[in-house]
Amino acid sequence: MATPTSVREPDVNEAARSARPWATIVWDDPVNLMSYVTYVFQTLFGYEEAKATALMLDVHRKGKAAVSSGARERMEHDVTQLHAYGLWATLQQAG
Amino acid sequence: MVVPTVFRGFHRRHQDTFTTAQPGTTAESSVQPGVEYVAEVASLEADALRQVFQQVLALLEGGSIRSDPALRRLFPDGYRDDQAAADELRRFSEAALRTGKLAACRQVLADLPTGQGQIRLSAAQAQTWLIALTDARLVLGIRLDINSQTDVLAQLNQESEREKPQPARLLLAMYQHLTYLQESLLEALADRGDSADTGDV
Repeated sequence: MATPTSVREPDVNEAARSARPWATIVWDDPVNLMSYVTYVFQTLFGYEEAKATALMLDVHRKGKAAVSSGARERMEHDVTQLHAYGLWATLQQAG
Repeated sequence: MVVPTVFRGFHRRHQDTFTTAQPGTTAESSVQPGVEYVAEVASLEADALRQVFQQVLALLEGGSIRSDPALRRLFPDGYRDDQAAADELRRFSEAALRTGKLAACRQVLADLPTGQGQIRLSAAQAQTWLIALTDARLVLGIRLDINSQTDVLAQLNQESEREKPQPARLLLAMYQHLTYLQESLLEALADRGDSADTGDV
């Protein structure tokens, strides 16, 4: 008699991991102008000047800022767009 | 900010109603028809800018991302701690990114006057210029090893005092000039025409 093959229990951790949203991170770099970074956040994400400026200042002072979050594919799109504008961006899973 | 005395950079102005959009430009799609961004350039300056953008163009056309740090900065990894995912993303995004950067560079070269003259940009063209100026500054920034501690003006002064000029002097001067050009274009774009004073950050 064939022994039952072990049925793999659903990996709760894995499910939780894939459900966690992704974030687009912009990193500080020594070349890009503060005014340009603000401009890109406004142009690309449609952020108000105040929000775009606050994010730019986070990048400048803290070295990085999460500028958008959502599904992984969407964040890959955002990262690629930011690269098109010359900003240094990566995506990572939140939390 | 240090404002060079000779060069004024970009400024915003209302387009002469008799002026038609330059052929091949995207003026029709500009957000504010009737507004253009203009800079007067001397012959030497137009030549120097052309040289810089031709070098960036050549780099984008033929350089290897693996071996050239400037190209690695223009096309950074999309994932910080996952090289396989970064490679995968690069595989389907790099060609379009490269095409966009090449097009921006070519547009700048097309917009530059031959000899002394004017650079005249629609809002859409101005956006493309901002991208190309950024790429050129990123490339020069890598070549000059610019980091968060670098004082470009101090370094430029230092280089200018050397008896024997070093290549870095010209690169630094060009880097500073591109910075000024980009700042002036950003200020001109932020200028809504209701005030002479623009809200720069």
